[in-house]
Amino acid sequence: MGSMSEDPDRERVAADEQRIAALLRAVEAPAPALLHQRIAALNAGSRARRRLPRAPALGFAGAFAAAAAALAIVLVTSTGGAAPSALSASRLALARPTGAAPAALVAAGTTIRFPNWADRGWPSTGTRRDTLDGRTVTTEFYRSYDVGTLGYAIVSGSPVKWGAAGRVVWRHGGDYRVMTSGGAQIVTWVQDGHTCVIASRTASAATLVRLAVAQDRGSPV
Amino acid sequence: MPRLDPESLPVHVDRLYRAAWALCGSPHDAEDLVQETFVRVLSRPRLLRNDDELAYLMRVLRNTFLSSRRTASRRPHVTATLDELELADPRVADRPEHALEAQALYGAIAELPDDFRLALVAVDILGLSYGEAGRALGAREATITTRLHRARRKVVASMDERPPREGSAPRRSLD
Repeated sequence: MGSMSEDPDRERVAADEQRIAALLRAVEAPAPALLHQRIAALNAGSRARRRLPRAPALGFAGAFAAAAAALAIVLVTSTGGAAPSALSASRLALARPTGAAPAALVAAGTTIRFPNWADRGWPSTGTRRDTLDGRTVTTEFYRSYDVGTLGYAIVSGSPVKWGAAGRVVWRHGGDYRVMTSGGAQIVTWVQDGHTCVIASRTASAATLVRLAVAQDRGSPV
Repeated sequence: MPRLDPESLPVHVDRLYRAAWALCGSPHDAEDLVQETFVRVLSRPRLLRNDDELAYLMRVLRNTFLSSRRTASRRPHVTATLDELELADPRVADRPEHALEAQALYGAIAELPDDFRLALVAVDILGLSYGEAGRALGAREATITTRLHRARRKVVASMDERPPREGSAPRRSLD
């Protein structure tokens, strides 16, 4: 049997192993702080559940409530207190409409007119108006037969916090932040000094970005 | 039979994130994958049969990755043009060379066939032994050894074939 130094295969294997190890050492890739926060929040939710007296079979409803509690913790962590965030605005964009679909609608406290996307397959289905940490949030909802529902929320006042979540895409000179939360896709950007948020549980991020660019830049959808 | 201690899990987040990045090829998808993995793990008490914690997490990560990929392939998309979007990662903006190396390395691993990729992730990124990796991935130790060697060979070749850094700079506009 040859020694390791005499066996070209063994030498090659050892060299590959060393090379991979060196490459992996060279590229430190710690998890983002926000991911650590989310995991800590999930763990906190799990810990709280473990401390509860054991209840009879929680079933799906219980699991859903626990997941909602964990998500709430994540959102509170993300918003960091009273100031509104794009994520908290996105919750309104994912809520149900409370008003009828308008013929035309300008977001309260802004001069931004909501788009009419009916001829592009996204007719309006309703609206809602909320107050978020002292800001007025106007939301219009649209529904596509193929893709489902999306909500477009406009937060009046100066731009809200984006946090470190998600990723930024640059399209036609504009910055759009793409996030996911609770399985929903969220795109947010600043238009005329106000924060716009489009969110959907069924449409892809690419579709939402395309709509956001169309609204922000006036380009065809 | 020992139970998985949820309190000890946060120490594994960094390694799992790197493993997830290598599986997905995208740091953003990796975040979602790690989060989903922890959601699954923390959803109820877990027993560790023949695994240590990290091997157990590797198995859940693998299952979550494979099932999320199946789900994604079934989900209808009106447009599938995310690749066209110009992406930038603000977390590494202050260390662009570092980021490029990481992108290239994890990208090369992500292009491996599934079996090779999982073996390399389990052993070289998560640090499992060959035996632990075999149990986590449902393969014999000898099979893991073979897959691992081939995976390393391919990654090394891929990294050696890379063009100079100028060609792979981020597309972010500086204006």
